[in-house]
Amino acid sequence: MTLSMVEKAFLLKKTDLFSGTDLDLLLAVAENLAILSCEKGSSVFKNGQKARRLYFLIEGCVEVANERNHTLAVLHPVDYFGDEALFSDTTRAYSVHCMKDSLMLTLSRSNLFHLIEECPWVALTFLRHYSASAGFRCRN
Amino acid sequence: MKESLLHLFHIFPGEERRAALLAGLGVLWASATSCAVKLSESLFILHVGSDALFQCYFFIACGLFIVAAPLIHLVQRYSAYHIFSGLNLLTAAIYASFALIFFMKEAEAGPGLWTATIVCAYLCFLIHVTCYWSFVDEYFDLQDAKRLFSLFCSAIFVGMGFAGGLLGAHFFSLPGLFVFLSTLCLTSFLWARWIRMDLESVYDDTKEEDDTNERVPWRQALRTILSSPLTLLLMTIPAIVQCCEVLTEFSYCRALENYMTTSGRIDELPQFIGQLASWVALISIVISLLLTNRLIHRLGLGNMVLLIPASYLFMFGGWIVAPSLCFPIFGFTITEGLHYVIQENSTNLLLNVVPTQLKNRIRVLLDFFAEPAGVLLGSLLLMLPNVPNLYLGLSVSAIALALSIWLRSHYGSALVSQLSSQRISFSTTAQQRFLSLSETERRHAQHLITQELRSNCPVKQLLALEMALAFPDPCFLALNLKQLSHISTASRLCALELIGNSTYANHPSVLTTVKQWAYEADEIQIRCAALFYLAKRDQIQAQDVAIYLDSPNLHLRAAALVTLHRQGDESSAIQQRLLDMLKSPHENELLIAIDLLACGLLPHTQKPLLTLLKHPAATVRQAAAAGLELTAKPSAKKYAPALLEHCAHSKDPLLRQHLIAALGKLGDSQSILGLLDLCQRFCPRELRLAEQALSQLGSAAEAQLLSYAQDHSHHPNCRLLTLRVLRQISPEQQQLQLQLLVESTLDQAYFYFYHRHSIRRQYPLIHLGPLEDVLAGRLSTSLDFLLQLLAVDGTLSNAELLSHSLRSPNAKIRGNAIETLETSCSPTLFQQLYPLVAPKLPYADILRLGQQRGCFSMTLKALLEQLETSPSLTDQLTGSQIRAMNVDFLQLHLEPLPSEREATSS
Repeated sequence: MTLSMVEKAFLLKKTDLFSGTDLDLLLAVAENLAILSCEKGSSVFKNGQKARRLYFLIEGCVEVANERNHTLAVLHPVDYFGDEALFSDTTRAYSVHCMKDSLMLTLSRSNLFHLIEECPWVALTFLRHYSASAGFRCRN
Repeated sequence: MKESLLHLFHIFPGEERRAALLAGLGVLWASATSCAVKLSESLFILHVGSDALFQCYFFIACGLFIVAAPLIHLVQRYSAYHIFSGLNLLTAAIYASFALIFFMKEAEAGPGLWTATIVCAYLCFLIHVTCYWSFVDEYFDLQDAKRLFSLFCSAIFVGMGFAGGLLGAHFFSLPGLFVFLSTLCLTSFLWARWIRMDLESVYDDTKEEDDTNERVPWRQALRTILSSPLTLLLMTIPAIVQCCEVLTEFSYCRALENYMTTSGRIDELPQFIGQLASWVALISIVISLLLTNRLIHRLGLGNMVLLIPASYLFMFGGWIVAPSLCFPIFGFTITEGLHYVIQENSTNLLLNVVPTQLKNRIRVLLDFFAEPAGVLLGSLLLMLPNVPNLYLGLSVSAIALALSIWLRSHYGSALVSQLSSQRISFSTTAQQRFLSLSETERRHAQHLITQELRSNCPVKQLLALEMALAFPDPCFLALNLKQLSHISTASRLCALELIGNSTYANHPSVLTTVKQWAYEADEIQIRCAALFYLAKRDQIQAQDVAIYLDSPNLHLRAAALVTLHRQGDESSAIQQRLLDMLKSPHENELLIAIDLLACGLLPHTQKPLLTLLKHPAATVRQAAAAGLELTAKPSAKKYAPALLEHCAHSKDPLLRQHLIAALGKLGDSQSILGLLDLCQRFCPRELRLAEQALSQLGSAAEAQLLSYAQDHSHHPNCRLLTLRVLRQISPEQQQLQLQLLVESTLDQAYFYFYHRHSIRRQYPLIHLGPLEDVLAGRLSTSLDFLLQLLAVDGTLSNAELLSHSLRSPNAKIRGNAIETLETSCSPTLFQQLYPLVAPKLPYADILRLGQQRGCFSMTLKALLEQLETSPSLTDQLTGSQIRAMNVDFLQLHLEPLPSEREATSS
């Protein structure tokens, strides 16, 4: 499966993180996105693995599960996942399995940090998402 | 003793376990597979004869071609560990089968079986080499690899030496030996498993989570390989060197056979080759352990690739001039030892510079296509009648040397392009990206854009329009403008704004389309906005719009005002109407008024626009700033201080960007320092704009900028920007002054480097984390400043890329950045820079290097005092802050503790 830079830019524009991005930035990020296609039933990453990349689900459907294999969420196209461990510099705290044949765009941790350095509002978008899903932060 | 050994093998403290485990693995598999190779080779010569060896080479080459396809498939799907483990199991099974066959039918074995044995043995050995290096590569970045790969290379030679000894010892019968080799392979499998469980691989975020590379389709992979000259050379040179190896091997085999026949000891040939192999392995181990990494350190990786082709050239040349047994033995030493120690090692290290996502695939291509192609070429050359093999060897080695010199010249640029391919380039515009597309990619992109313009999604439609406007092809835009008539009113209004801000705003096809909208559109909003668009571009006759001068519709009124103004009516009535609009409490009216101001309806547009910068509505402020950017010209220099002030106080990045661009257009050299001082608060995009703005001032600002860069009291980021501007406006900067600046910055960097590492050891009982962080941050800033300085004097081509790569969380990128620094700087300068950028150095080395640079241990109090008296404001603040945080401690411990005093004195 191949996607051109322009195709990736159109897909990226649909995601919450890049919906307000201008064309120059969108193409810059799109050019550095890798493509990952996974078959139904295969795992994208497992709990406890080293975190390397951020994933944007473009096609298909994935299930997020904890270490006891309990489903935490089911993600659909234009959702993103795998960001938490990149920021906390820890191993993956959940596993992701494909419920259908899925296609993902992936961004490396180095490039994510570079993007945040260039556009701090990307970090603010992440913060907005985290604060929307957290009642009160766990201090320990 | 331990320290001496670590120093001998170039192992840093903490790396012992990693190095020992991976070296142990090398010994295990190399013992098994190389023993099988030598055994099968000796048996073949004994039973079939050396004249038929070229047939074996042919079969081996064909076998490698056949194996390559499944192996490439495997490296895409599975991790290096899984492939290596699987290979060990398969090899163990093959050797066990041979043991069984030889146990049952050794006496009946014919040439077919001996050929099969030698081909299988070779294939197992060569696949093991590839998979072992792929596996080892996961645990090291380039800088560590340069130190340690020669150790693993020597581990392979220890294995080969052990194999030679095993052959010479006659300890096992033939089947028994194969059973033993099979057991060794199984042990290697278990050892690899242990490594996997015990060691953590180096952090490399170019890979996916399952440890496999991105699955790049073949067409794209091929295009990437073809577009990288270094990759092509890296695949060609091993093929040619392999050809040299075949020619050498044939020549020495024939020479040794003749020698043994004439001396009546032909039956001892296998033992003789075995003994020779052991000696060569021993020599190779010594060279690999003691020389290779030191040679890489001294000569640089680029020069290492020249050694083996040059050795072949020397050997063939010498053999032709003075035939004697020493040249075949030297040839044996090169092919069986030095080739692996130097050439393979260098090629493995150079693979770090090929496109990352294709690295493992290129490694397989190299070992299973390029090298077999060399073997095939060698065997075909040997089949040529009446051509002396020594002359063939001489010619082929000369070609290999020439190609290696070519590769050396490409090395530096390949490193830079590899680093830039792994980093997002924010300074490249959409237009530049579209320009760099190939013809096919461009057609595909245009097809997509047209398709999305026809879609029903307004977001996609507008993005597609933005793309069409960025495309450097007016015909393509003209074709797509027709699609815009189908989009919604709101989208079409946005489209009009996008088109107006683009480079195609006055293009005839655009004007035709907008005219159609102005006169034929159903929606009144579109018609009015289109009319204003045309009026701004002088496309409307005064009589057509004069009636709208008092229209309640803002667009129509604005169209009338601008048309009448453009067509010579400078009456104060028009200006008064505009002034009235500027007083309006409505945002929409103000925005239109700003548009009119930008059209030059008033003689002095800057003043009202500056007033609007204080408007409560952000959209109005941003529009006013955009208007200021549009109308800024050198004659309005007097407004520069006001713009600077707004820039300093505004928190809106978009507004600041317009103001910075406006300042650049004003070209006021007096405002340079003000703009530079503001830069410490700018985000990267604003910094790039400021850089452009300051560059527009030209060489007139050179002296001011240079003195600013030399002044340590300014913020480091501002000084950094000054250097970037200097690099652009003054390519031939005064070298001497920069040299002094480089030296003083190096001293400063070493100060931070030395104390960052030593302060914790001096005061283990107090928490000095913040001070260490600050010292590390200051070291990083000094390094950035140094890199910029080196870019100004022309040593480095891309300082930003390098400083960013040196800070990357990806260890492989950091390793390559250091390598780029090494290839770009002089050896003396690199020696001074290396400790500052190296991720890990023994503490003794840090102390020694710091002291060589004039640093010495200080008490905490003295260090803080030094920071507080530094000309740098950041240092002063840091010193005061740490003093405030540790005030109790400092009062109690004005002098270091006795143990610390000892450490200080030592």
